[in-house]
Amino acid sequence: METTATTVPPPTTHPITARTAIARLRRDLALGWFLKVTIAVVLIVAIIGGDETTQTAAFFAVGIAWVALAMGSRRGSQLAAGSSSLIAAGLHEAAEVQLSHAIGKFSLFRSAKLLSIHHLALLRHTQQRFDESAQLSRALLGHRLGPLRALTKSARLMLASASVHLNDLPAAYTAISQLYAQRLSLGEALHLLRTQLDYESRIGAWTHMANGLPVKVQLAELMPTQDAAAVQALLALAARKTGQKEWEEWLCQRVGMLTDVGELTTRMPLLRELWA
Amino acid sequence: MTASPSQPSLPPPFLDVPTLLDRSVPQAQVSRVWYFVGGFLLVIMGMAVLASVGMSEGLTQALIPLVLMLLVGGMLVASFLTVQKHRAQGRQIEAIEEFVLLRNWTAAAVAVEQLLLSPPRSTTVRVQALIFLASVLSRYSRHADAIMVQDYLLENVAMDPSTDNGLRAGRAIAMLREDHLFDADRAIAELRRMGDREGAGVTLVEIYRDVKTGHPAEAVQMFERRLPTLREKLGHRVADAYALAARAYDLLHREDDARQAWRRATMLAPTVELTRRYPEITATANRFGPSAAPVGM
Repeated sequence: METTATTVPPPTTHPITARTAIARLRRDLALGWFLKVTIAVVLIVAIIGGDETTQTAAFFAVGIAWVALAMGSRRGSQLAAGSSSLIAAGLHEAAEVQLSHAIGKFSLFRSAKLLSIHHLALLRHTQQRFDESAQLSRALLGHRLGPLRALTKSARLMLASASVHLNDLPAAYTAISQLYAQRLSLGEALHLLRTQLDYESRIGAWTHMANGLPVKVQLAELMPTQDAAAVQALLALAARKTGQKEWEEWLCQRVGMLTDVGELTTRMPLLRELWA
Repeated sequence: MTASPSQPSLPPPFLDVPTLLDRSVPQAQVSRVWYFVGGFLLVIMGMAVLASVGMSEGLTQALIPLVLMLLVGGMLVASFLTVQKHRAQGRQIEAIEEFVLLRNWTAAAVAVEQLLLSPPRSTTVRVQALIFLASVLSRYSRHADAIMVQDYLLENVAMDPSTDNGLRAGRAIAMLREDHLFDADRAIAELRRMGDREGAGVTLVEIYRDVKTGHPAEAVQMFERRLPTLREKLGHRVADAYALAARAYDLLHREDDARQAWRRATMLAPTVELTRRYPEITATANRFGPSAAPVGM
């Protein structure tokens, strides 16, 4: 059977670090800006001061350069876009390879570069490399996202969650507060609830956690099994701390039906007192 | 009664599957680049004609960049509008997904019908909308219609394994609800053959089939053997497995086990939702009643 050229780049041995990715983002954005300004200046000079031959030559040169750069950049955009489905499918190595190529290659399109950084942050978050995920999310939020502004919510959620895991509670607080100013989808609201409860349990805000228990429980029911169990266990702990015995027992029983309590308390030692 | 020719045509019935499948077929779209190329050629030809009828060279040279700029501007505006429409449909799908998750079925039904009454801008949006349509139809107990949508998707669309499995499991349950036992058996065999042999979806369908066809011992055996997988994969929907197991225990006259399984089922999901999904468990539900929940739940 004849094989065609593969669309997936060959594997790389060294995963790209957050610092390198951020440096490349800055370099490419600066270079892209410089190229666009140069092209604009060339065109303006040709139109204003050039004769007919100079104008034609300038238009041709700029056109060819633009098409060549755009075609090269398009490949990077495709790699970046394709990596999100690989991350969702749990194919982390393949996503890593695609993102390394997308970030390593120069792209004229600002959005392709920013999207690559977002997906790399998502990959690092999924790999529980929270330090890198936080660095990348912060770098992303530091840029004007323009048509990609929908990514700010996702980046902030990752930053909040990573900061909680890193015990950087002031950063988590800032990210969570900023998310309250944005309109979230149901999926994002669920992610925020999970992160916020984790954060509040670390600062001992039990009364706040126990506010509106029925709504929080209903939202937890929409989460994947492990998150649903963790959230309800945190709510059970808040109920315990605020003296709501009935809620505590009911939630603990539900958690026991959803997950292995031993595994859960190993992952979240704070919850041990519920089953002591 | 026959309709007179002057009578206006009646709107299609609510969530009419053949109509929605037919009207939502995406139309072939001509790339805008060709419009641009065509426009460009027209400009060149127009200028040549104008030059031949004696228009001054200066005027022609001034017009060419102006017309080209208009063409490029038009292309940019058209692209912008297309992107806006794509985004609007993305938001519509997101809203439907939220309605389904929050069990706001009326809103989900209205939104999904609105989306499918005209061709969506992308095949992905159409496929997602059809998957939600199948869920909505099942919720309204229109299982034959749900099967029609699921069959259409499974025959015409290549989906990722997890979506494919979910759809097949949903179709098998709809077939059981419609008493198409032979078809359901075949659907279960297909599910098992496609790699989901020990999966939560196929297990739940098999337990339901055994309860429905009067094989409670097999249902109990399967439930007890695969409970860890069901718990891990189904999340709160493990309540379905507990409810069906309660019915199976009840049929085997194992009252204590039935009561305990029913208590667990109703601790995770409301009785009304469980009996709606599986009407066969109503007798057990009436016998034991729901488990106690804190005030407010």
